[in-house]
Amino acid sequence: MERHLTLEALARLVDEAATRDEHAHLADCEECRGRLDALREQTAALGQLPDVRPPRGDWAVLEARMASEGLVRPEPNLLQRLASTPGWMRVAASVVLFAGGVGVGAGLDRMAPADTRPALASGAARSQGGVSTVALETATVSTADAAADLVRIKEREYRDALVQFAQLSEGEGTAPNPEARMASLDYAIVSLQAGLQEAPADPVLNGFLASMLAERDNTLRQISNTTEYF
Amino acid sequence: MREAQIIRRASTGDAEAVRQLYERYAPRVYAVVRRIAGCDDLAQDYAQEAWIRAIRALPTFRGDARFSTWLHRIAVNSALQALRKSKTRRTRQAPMPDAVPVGPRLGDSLLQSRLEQALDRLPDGQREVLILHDVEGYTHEEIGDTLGVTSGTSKSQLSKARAKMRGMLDGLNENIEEREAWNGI
Repeated sequence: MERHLTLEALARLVDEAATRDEHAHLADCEECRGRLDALREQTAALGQLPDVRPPRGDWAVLEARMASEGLVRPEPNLLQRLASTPGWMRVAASVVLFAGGVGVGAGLDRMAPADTRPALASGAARSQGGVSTVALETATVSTADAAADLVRIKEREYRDALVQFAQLSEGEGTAPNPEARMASLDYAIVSLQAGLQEAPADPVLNGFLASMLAERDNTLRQISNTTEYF
Repeated sequence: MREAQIIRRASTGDAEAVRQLYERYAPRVYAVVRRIAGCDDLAQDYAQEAWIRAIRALPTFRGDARFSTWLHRIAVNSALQALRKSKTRRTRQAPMPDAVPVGPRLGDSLLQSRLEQALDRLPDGQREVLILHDVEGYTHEEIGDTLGVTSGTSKSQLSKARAKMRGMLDGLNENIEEREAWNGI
């Protein structure tokens, strides 16, 4: 039998027609046919190589670089978004949040055992098994004036919480504390979800909730970035 | 949100829209850039550069081609240019320790790993042609335009690359069989 076809010649035959001599050789040579089949399988396998997720932290580096080069505008933080919201919508959102918060608080109060009710009613944030939980303060009022006063108080508390959240987000004057930020975000998310039970289609509340959830994911990623790799 | 809207917003510097594009296409961009780079250390830099170029050029995207195709071309060209500039290629040994394959397009993960290792060990010119043709589906004419060579050169390089890779895979297979024999598998 004549000499075997070179591997390079066989590689060409993966997607090109064989000459008459090559064709005749392949018809007689099982070894060359086997090598050509292996080359075809190799080529097919290369065409099916999967996409590859970039290493962890790639987006953060890219985002910082794009921002430094002025290619992207930084995403507005919650307070900036709130400031751009019309006043009447902010008031409406606060009222809806308050109403939702009272509802959730009352529900939590009913679910809690009797001996824990005072602690829940204090509105303190607690931590169980590393997960921050927040109980909303409940209140009972009997007159319209008292209800209006309570709305104002709750609105002020809500705004204070937003300011605290923004300060934690921006790290103004303090070292960044992702865990505290998570607790603030959890509090705000619970409040927003409670409000959305009353007004599920409210675009402002939905927008805030989406922002909060995105921020929560970012914070969670920051926390996990400092501890382990996936 | 439709992709056209996301692209329009991203072209005005909307960070959230850019992030959505990144999340959608980063694995595709990283895969081709990683294979052209031939090592992880360069790959991340090349991928970042590709994204920067793409975002800069976004206002010029007219939608004549699909966005994925447009982005892919930028990634390939960017990585090839960066590779030309890079004079200090390191010896490539580790097969993508930090990168994570997305989706089980290949049933045999061992075969996939061997292919990636063999790709990394090919000479730059042969690897580029093999990746563009067999992995990315470019024609020889497109490869010629991209690499600045004739389509005949592209065909010749492809045959050499396939043959060399086959030889390496056979070598890798033998090594694995030897190791398994030693380990009594």
